[in-house]
Amino acid sequence: MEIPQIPKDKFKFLNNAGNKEQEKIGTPALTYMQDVRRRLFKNKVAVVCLTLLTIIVFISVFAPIIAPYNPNAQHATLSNLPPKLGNLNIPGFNGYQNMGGKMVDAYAQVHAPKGTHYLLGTDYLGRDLLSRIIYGTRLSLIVAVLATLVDLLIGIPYGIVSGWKGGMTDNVMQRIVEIVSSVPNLIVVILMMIILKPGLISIVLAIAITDWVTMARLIRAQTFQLKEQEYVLAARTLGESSTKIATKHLIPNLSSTIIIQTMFTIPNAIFFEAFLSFIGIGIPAPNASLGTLLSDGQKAFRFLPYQMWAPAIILSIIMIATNLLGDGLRDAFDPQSSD
Amino acid sequence: MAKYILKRILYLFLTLFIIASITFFLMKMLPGTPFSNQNRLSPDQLAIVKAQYGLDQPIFIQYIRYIGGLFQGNLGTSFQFNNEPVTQLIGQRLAPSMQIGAQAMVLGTILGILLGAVAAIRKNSWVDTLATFVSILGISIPSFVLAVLLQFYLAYKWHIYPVALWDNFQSSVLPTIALAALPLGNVARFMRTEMVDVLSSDYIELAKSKGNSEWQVVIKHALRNSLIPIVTIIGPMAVSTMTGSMVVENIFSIPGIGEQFVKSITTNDYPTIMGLTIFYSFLLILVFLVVDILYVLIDPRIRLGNGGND
Repeated sequence: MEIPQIPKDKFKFLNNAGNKEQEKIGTPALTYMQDVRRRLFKNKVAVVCLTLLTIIVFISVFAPIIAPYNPNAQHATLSNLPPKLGNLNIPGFNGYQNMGGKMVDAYAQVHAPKGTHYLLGTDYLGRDLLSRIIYGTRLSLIVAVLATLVDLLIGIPYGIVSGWKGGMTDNVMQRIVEIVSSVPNLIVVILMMIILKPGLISIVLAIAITDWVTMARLIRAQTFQLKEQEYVLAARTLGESSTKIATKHLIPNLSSTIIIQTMFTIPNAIFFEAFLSFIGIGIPAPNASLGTLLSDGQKAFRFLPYQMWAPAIILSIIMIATNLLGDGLRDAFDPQSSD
Repeated sequence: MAKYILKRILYLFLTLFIIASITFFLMKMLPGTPFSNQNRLSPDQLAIVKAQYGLDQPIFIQYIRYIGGLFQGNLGTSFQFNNEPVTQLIGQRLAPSMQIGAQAMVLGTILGILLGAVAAIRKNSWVDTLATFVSILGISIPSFVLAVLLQFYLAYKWHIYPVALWDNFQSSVLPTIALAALPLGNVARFMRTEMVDVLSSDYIELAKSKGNSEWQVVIKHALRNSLIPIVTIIGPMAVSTMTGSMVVENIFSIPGIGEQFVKSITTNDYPTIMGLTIFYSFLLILVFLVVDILYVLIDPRIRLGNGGND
């Protein structure tokens, strides 16, 4: 059949200037990520938590510059001094201590050199508590971040492979997940801690070895849904390799799940580290983590409650802020999930 | 149903067997023995002690013996307490742990349900904000931080409860509160979401339009249907309560299995560590099993079909 040739000059534009105006897009289209960011920053609680965490992370990163003293330097004569804020006379922060019912200037008693003041006091070895808390927070955060990274490195590939392959592979992989998850996390962590040498790497491994399961499960469930999508089918039809589909198509679409789950893994890791250090099989001395500081503080709280307060507050703030930020992120990524 | 339960019980034993095997070989990989600190033992004496505990045999034989013993309910003998059988050790210490664990879970669940329900009914009011705040505190603050603070104020400063003691109900109050915070937070949160969902469903509208009062609707219709899914978080709740109890028992000096577990770790008491690991795992798998069965029984909407467990 012959297609009739219509000369170009037969076509002409309609005079529809008004119509064109209608079709114009007023505001630039927001990408998904921009939308998420906007929703997140609208959430006041999440913003406050994000700010708090940013400050804490900043202090931890620059701990060597910010910490006033060496966290492990001992001064036998200056042990167990109460908090003192320069020469300000604020009760609880003026270097006075209750001794036998009387408030006594503890700094004068031990003949501390003039001008000596510890913002949060010192511990039983005369180490500056503020510096120890700064370094302790740093260590706790390092453990949490590393554990989360290992968790991602195991959990994401495991979940994707299991979901993508399906069938027998999936069945076997899921049975393994079931067995791993049926043993209480803490017991696995403790067993790992007994076997490995105490230290940072062991704690990270011990935490990561139990935590990846949740991530793997979520990723698998999502992969199951994603692999039925048209764009994955298109990529397959075009002959993309499975690895390329996974990195190019699956992971970007899994990112919201990954980010949200990460925000819940971090407080979990911080909790486990503090827990292990608290019962005495975590970070070895003389290094401090929030758990060891709290454990030391608990032993002395009858006479020196300030040693317990600071680590307890910092630990609680970090936990609350990460949990709330996780909630905020979940709402931002998936507006339907909140009511 | 019977087939499903049978299958799950089979899995339970398979899982336990794998856990026992892994624990056994992990313990064998440990450096040092419980006798390595005792320099007073001559090589001959050491050999005798080792033979007494069966440690002179090849690892494979030890393994067969251990698994064989497990089938007869024998978890081996403790290294530290005058050769006391581990089973007996656990038996003696089970009651306090179970008591505070159960008290904490019941208290946390009841308060959590109330808090979550009230928050959902008065959604977006100050009550809701307060409830959300309380549940976030419960979820975020580690049980041992809470335990230390409770001990300092309620026990040491204000003398309301004993600092660290285990004899009557009074002494179980503080550990119970410390452990109940997490279940409370979780249940309240869960309950709120469920209840908000249920309250916006059609049958609630119907019940309201029939002229029932708000509280009648809530108690008769909404509460019942929101309670069903709570059953699913009993399992994770048991896990977290167990985790918390290890350190909370330590803080309050409660002679329970959690405290024993921590003590065994510091003294290289392998048989007790292994025994408690297997015991804890058994307990938790059992809780998960019972919860799953209960859930199917309670909620008629759930049917066990092919691939239904995915």
